[in-house]
Amino acid sequence: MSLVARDLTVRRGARTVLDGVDLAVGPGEFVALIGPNGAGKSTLLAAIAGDLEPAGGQILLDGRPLEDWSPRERARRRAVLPQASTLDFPFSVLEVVAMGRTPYGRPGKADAAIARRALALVGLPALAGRPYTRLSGGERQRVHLARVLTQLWDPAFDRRGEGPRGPAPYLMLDEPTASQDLGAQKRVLETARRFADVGGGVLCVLHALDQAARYADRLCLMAGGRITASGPPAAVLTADALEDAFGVPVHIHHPPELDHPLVTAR
Amino acid sequence: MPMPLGRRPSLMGVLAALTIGAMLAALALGAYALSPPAVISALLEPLGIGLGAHTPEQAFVLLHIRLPRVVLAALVGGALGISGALSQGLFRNPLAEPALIGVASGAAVGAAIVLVFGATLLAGAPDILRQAALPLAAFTGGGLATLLVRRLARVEGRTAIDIMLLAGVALNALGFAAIGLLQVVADDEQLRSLTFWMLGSLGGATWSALAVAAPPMLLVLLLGPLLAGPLDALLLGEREAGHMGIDVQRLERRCVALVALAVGAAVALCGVIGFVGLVVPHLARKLGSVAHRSVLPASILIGAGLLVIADTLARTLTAPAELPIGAITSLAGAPFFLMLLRRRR
Repeated sequence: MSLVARDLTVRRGARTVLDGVDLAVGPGEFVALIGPNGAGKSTLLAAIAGDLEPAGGQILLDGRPLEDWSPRERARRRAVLPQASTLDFPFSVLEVVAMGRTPYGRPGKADAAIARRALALVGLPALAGRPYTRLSGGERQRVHLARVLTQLWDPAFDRRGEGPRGPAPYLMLDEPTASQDLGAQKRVLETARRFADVGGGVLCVLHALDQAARYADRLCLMAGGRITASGPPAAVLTADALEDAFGVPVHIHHPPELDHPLVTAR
Repeated sequence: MPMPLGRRPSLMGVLAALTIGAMLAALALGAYALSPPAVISALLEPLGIGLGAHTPEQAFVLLHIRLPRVVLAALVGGALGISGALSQGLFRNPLAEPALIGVASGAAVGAAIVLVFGATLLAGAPDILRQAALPLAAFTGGGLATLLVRRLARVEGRTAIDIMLLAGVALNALGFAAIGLLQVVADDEQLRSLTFWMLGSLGGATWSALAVAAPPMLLVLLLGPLLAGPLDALLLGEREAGHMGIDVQRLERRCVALVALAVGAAVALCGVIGFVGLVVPHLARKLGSVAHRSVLPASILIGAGLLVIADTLARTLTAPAELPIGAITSLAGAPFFLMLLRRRR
């Protein structure tokens, strides 16, 4: 029961952008992909999402190769938040969020209710009737977070721990905090954390190392198309590993009032 | 204004009533005057309700000349309207139109070949074939051009929708170049027919023509609205739609097939009628919501109503002479479209 990449290799032309990567995200787990620009974080996310044709390796969802899942079956178990979305038509915010219900057939009243709850979860309940095209970039991104939560709402939030749990849903986020203000960043990551706490799996590309350390259970440090270190935040965020990956000397602070480290370039 | 989910159920009702009203008015208007009571009386008689308010001559004009024409106008308008909405949805571009999949220019080339070389090519052919040659060639040309555009847009085994748009633009230019060449070799008479065909006319409306053209168009009117959900998802991007469980390749095939069928049938029978496919979906979005579950049916109704009105103008403004309907739709559509664009800002 997990989302697994096994020996994943992706080439762009002659360049190998992912080089035999192994990665697993389990139910209830928040895994953050960190590393310098061009390390292959977004490529890995896209490959696991099934957007790229890998030159080698496999992606397994619950032990079954991703390509064996029908598009709709897959969409009910796994959602992907891209870095940016293009939508030039003035849908209402609620309509955009409700598009997350696409894999469940014709939308009904229950779907609108789920969309409203997801919108409240990302902290934008007041924008429901607003035209999407009038929102700021940060607000749009949060609307899409609500959309992908809506897509996985039933397996993630409607179980409430009663009875036998269905198979876990997986949320894949590509830099969800980019273009968000301080409060919104916290909201977005807390939402993702909550998704993992109720039993879902989260795979998230993050640039801010302190955010990764604060919210994720496990960090995967990437450099040159490989995962160079993987484990709990304290084990991965070492001066040596980060200097190797980012090519700059770093300071790692452990402020007594925080339970996670802070990293700054030296 | 965008509406929250599930509101405005009555828009379709209002549009349907307006379209039916336009059709009834169109039946009464024309070179041969028919009073509204005579129209209603003559329409009801075949249903077994005798009001006796019309003469046999009036019944003949209404049932055999005007009714097929009004029905054809509504069908073609609806087909062009929904084709426009499907195209704009598929290309995720509010400036897209059905012609971008190549069907219109392909059909025009097919028709132009028959108009210019038909007399020579079909010299010994039976009458029925000579009459059917033009719509057949137009429909075939439209289909072939569509296949070619899709073929050109195939990259690594899948149809790249963004490349298809550009391939469509290029093929349209090629098609009109071919027609230009055909115009050079055409004689005056052929040139005149070609020009009229390129501007469209519903003058060929008969029940037998309708019997052939109506089924493919009706099919599109019935099946098109079923693609509403997937088309909404596609507006977020091909990848995003895929992540939401949409088989984008299958959606693309269905959209292109429906548009080719609808536009192919419409163009084959009526020639090129511009601007309907481009403008009607914009009107639909303005009046209702931008969601396809509203845009698709509204485009059918608005397209039908507008083309009925345009055709009525075409045959009454300069009666007994007829204006080409494509000239009317473009004349009214172009400034209107510009106004819509400027107001979007």
